[in-house]
Amino acid sequence: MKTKMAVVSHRKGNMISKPADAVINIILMLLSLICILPCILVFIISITDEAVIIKNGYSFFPEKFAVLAYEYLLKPEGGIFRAYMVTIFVTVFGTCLSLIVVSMLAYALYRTDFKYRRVISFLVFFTMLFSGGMVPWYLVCTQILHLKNTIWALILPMVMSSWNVILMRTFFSSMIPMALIDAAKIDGCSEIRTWWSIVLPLAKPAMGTIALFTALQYWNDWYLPLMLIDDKKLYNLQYLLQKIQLNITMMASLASQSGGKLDTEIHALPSEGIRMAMCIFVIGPIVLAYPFFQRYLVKGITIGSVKG
Amino acid sequence: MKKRSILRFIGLCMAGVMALVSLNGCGGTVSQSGETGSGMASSEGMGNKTDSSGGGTLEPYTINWYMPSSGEPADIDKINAKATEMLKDLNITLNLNFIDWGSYEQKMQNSIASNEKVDLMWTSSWLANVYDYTRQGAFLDISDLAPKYAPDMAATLKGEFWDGTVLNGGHYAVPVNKEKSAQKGWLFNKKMIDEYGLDVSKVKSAEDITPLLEKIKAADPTLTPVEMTSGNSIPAQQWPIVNNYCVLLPNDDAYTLYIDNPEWQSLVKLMRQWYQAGYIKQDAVTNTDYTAEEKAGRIFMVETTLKPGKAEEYSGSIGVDFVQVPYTPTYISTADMFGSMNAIPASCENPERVLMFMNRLYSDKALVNLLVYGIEGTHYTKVSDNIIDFAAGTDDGAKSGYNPGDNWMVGDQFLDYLLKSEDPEKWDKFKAFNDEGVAVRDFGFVFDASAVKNELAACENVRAAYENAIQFGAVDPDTAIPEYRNKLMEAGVQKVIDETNRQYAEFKSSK
Amino acid sequence: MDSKSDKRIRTRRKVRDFKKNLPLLGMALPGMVFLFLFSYLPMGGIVLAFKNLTFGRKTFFENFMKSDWVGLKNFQYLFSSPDCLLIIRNTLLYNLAFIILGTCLSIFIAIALNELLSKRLSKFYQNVILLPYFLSWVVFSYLFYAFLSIDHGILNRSILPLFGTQPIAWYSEPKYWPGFIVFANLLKYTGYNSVVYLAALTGIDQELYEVAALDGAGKWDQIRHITIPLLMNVVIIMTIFSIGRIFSSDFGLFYQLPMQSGQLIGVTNTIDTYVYRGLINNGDFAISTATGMMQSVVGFGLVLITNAVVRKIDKEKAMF
Repeated sequence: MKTKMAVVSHRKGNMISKPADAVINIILMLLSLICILPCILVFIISITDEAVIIKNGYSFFPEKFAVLAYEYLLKPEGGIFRAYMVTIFVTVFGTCLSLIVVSMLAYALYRTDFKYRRVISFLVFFTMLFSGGMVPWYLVCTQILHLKNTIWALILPMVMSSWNVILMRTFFSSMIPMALIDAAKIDGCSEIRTWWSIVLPLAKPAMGTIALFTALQYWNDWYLPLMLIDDKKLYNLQYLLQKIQLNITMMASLASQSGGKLDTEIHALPSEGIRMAMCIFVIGPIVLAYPFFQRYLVKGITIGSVKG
Repeated sequence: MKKRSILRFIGLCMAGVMALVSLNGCGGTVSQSGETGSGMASSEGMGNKTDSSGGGTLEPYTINWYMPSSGEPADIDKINAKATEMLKDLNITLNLNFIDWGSYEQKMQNSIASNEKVDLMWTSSWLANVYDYTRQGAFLDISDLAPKYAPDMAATLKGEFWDGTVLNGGHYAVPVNKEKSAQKGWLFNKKMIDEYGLDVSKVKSAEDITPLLEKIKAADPTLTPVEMTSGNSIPAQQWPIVNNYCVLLPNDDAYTLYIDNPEWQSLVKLMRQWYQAGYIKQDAVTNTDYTAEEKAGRIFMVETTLKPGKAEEYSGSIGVDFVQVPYTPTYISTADMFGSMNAIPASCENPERVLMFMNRLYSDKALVNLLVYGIEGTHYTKVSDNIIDFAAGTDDGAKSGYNPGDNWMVGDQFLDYLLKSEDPEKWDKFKAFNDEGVAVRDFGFVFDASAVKNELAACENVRAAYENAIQFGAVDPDTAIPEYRNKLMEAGVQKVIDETNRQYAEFKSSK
Repeated sequence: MDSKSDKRIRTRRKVRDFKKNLPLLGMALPGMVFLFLFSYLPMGGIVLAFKNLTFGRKTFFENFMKSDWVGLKNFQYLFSSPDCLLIIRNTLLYNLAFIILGTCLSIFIAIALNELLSKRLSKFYQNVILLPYFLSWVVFSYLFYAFLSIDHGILNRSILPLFGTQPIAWYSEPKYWPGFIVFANLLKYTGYNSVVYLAALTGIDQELYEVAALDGAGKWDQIRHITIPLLMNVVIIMTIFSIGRIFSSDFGLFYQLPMQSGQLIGVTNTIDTYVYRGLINNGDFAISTATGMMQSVVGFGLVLITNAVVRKIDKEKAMF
C-alpha cells in the first residue's frame, strides 16, 4: 500500500508544471482550431442553400440553410446504406486479417536472430518503391486470382502493407526488449505463443496505431472498386461518392473538347453542397470510431511490471 | 545484401506471371484457335442476306459492348434481354455495359490491355482516344469486312463520315451518324435580352456584343455576364486548331502558330477590355464550372458549338431559356468526324458477327430506340408515330429506369424518336444543316504526334501557364503574348509546326 | 577433397539454419505470399518502361513480348524539356520542406499530447488533429477557394479589410503559394504522422522516466535524454520512407489545390504534374511508366545511401 502511494505521488512529481501545461494547451488548442475549422466549413457548406452560395460564396455564417444535399444522398435508390455495410464489413474483416499477417511478419523481422531478416526486410521494402504498374497488377487480380466482382477484391490486395510491416517492426524493437524473448524461449515457449501472448499484449500501442492506419486505408479506399468491381451491389461508400467526384472532374476537363456533347450531363451534376455532404458521410463514422483505437494509445506501460 | 539473388527472384516472378497469364488467357477468355473461325464460315454461307431471318445457320454469340454514361441504368438487364430477343435472327446475345464517365478511360485501358472480351467499345477524339488506340493496334481495320457484313451501315455513312475517318489508311472506328457540320456561336440569355431590350439579331462578331454587355453591366453591376471556360473562350473557338498549336488560315498554304494570327491577337485584346470592364469574372482562370450561375440566370452569354436546336437542348438541361446566334459559317471539320464512334477491338473473336449487329444499329429503328429510350410503356410512351414522351412517374426521365442519354453514341441518330419537348422537325433540320456544311480545306488530315511527343509535352506545360490567362483577358496581352511565344519556341513548338506541315504535305500528295 | 567436405559442411549448415529458422519463416510466410501475389507477380510490368506497348495479339503475354524495345527513349521525355531543372527543383525542395517541418511538428505534437496533464483534453486534440487527413485534395481545393477566392473569399472579404489592405488576387500571385502548399501538406498529414510518434512514445518504458526523476533530471532533460533518443528509431524509419519518395509528389496537392491556375505554374509544377499536363492530350502509357520508374530508382538510390549511413552509425536502427 505504502509503496503504491509513493509511486503515485512520485509520478505526480514527474509531470510537467502547471504553467507549461497551460502553454502547451494553448498551442494545441490553436492547432486544433486550424484543423477543425475546415471540417466545420465543409459541414456548413453542405447545409447551405445553393442560391446563397452563388450570391455570396462560401461562408461560416450563411443566410439560409438547406438539407437538400443530404436528401439527395440518402435517397434509397442511391444505395448508400448498402455501401456503408460493404465498407464496414470490408474494414473490420480486412483490418483483422491484415493485423495478423502484418504483425506475424513484423515479428519475424524484429527478431535479430532470424537469419533471413535482412533479405526479407529488403524484399518488403522494395515493393514500397517499385511496382509493375496498373495493367500487370490488374491481370494478376483478374486472370490469376479471379477477384473481379467479388468481395475479396476489396480485401485481399490491401492485406499486406509494407509500410505497416516496417513500422511495426520498428515499434516492436523499441517497445520490447529482446531479453524478454530470450526468457520466453528458455521457458520453452513456441514462436507463435511468444508472438501471441507476450509480444502482442506488450505492443498494444503499436497494434492500435497500425490497426487505425489499416482501418483508414480500407475505409478510404476507392481504387480497388474502381478497378475490380462492376457490380453495383459491391460498391463501397468511398467509391460511391468518389464516382460522383470523378465524373465531375472528368467532365469539367472534357467539356470543351467534346464540342458541347456533354452539356446536358454537366448540368445534371450534383452541386457543391452535395460534394461537401459526401465528405461528412465519410468522416462522420471515423470520428465516432476513433476513441476505440485511442484506448490503446494511452501512456503508462511499464515493462518492468511484466518482467517482475 | 544478395542483390543478385533478389534480381533473380524478381526475374523468376516475372516469368511466372507471364506463364500463368498466358495459360489462363488461352484456357479462359479466348478460344480463338482459328481467329476467323465459325462465325466467318457460317455467315459466309449466308452471303449478304444479313437482314434476313435465316438465323438458324449462325452459332450463338455474345456481344459485349461498352459505353460511358453517368451511371448504370437500373433496368439495363431488361434492355439487354429485349435487345437479345430482337436480335434472335442473328443469334446474338447483347450485353451492353455502361461505365461511369470518370472511370471509362481507365477501365477500357485495362480491359483492352488484358485482352478481356470486348466486342465493341465507344471511342472518340476526346475520351478513350481513338488515335492512340488505333496507333497501338488495339482496333480492327474493318475496311474490307464492313461493306460485306454491314452494307446498310456503310451506305448510311457514305461521304464525309466514311472518308473522313481514315486512320493509318484504314477504318478502325465507325462514327455515329449524326450532325456532321459544326458552327461556332453563342447562346444568349433570353430573359436578359427581353429585360434590357437587347438586339442580338445584329450580332455578327464579338465586337458587336460589347455594347450589349455594357448595357447589362450598367443595369446590374453585380453581374459578370460572360462565361469563359478553358477551350470555350472566344479567341480559342474561331479556327479549327490542330494539335493545339497549328492553324491553317484561309489564305495560307501552310500551318502557322495560332498566336501569330492577327485576328486572334485582336480578339485577345477585346477580351482584355471585357475583363477590365468586369464582363468576365476576375477568377475566370480558376473557375471551371458555371452551372450554378447559369441555373440562377446570372449568365448572359455562353460560347459553344452550335447545331440546330442547341439552344432548346441547353435551356432544357439548365431551366433557363437561351437563344442561339452563330458567327461562323457551317463547316465540316475532321475532328468532328471523330466526335463519337464505336470500334471493334483487334482481339474480338468474331468481328463479322459484331458488324452484322452494327449494321442493325444503322437500319433497325426499333432496336436503336430500345437502346436509346428503353421499352415502350415502361420508359416512354408514344405520343404519335415518331414522337414520344417519358413514361408517367419518371419525372421527365430523371427517375426512369433507363435514360442513359446515349442518343449520340448509338448507330444512326436519325432513327431516334423525338421527345415531345423537341422540335418535331429536328431531323429535317439536322439533314439540312449537314448538307449546308462545307468541308474545311484540310478535311481528313489527322496529325500523328508520335514524332514530336517530347516537344508537345513541353509545349503543353507552357500552354497551361499562359493560354487561359491570355484568352480570358486576365493578363496584359502586349507583354504576355511575346512572353508566351518565346516560351513556346524554347519548348520546341517550331518542330511541331514543321512536322505538321510535313505530314500535311504528305497528306495532300496522297489525295 | 577438402573443398568437397567444406561444401558439404556448408550445405549441412545451411540446412540446419533453415530448420532452426523454420518457425519464424513460417510466420513470415502469409505476408510473403500476399507480397508475392500483389507486388512481385506484377513486377514484370517494369519492363514496359523500355517498350512501346502495342495491342491486337491474342494474349497480353504476346502483346508484351512482341512489342518493340525502345530503350531509354521513354525517359528522354522529361529531360528534353526546358523546364526540367525547375520541376526537379520544385519537387525536391517541397519534399525537403515537408520532411523537415513535418517531422519536427509531428514530434512536437506527439510529445505535447503525451505530456498534457488532462488525458481527456489530450484525446480530444488527438482526435481533432487527425480530421484534415480525411479531406481529399479536391475538398481542400474548395476550402482554400472559400478563403482565397478573389471576390467571395473570406480573406478578401472579411479579414483583409480589418487591416485596411486591398484585396489580393491570390490565384495569380505565385509568391504566396510555396507557403500555402507547405501549409496544406502539414495540415493534412501532421495529425496522421503524430499518431505514429505518439504510439512510439506510449511504448516507452515508464520506469526509465522514474529512475531519471529520482536522479534529479527535470522534464526537459528527460525529453532530451530519454524521449528523443528512443524516438530516433521511428524518426529514422519515417525519414527513410520519405526519402524514398523524394522525387515523387502528391498530384492533388500540386494540381488541384492551386485550381490549375496557369500563373502559379512556376511554383506548383512538379514532375508528376508536368507529366500529367504533357500527356493529357496524347496519352502515352509507357512514358508515365518510365517516369514512375525513374522516380523510384532515384528514391531507391537515396534510400540505399541513407540506410548505409545509418547502418554505419547504429546497426540496429537501419532498415535492412
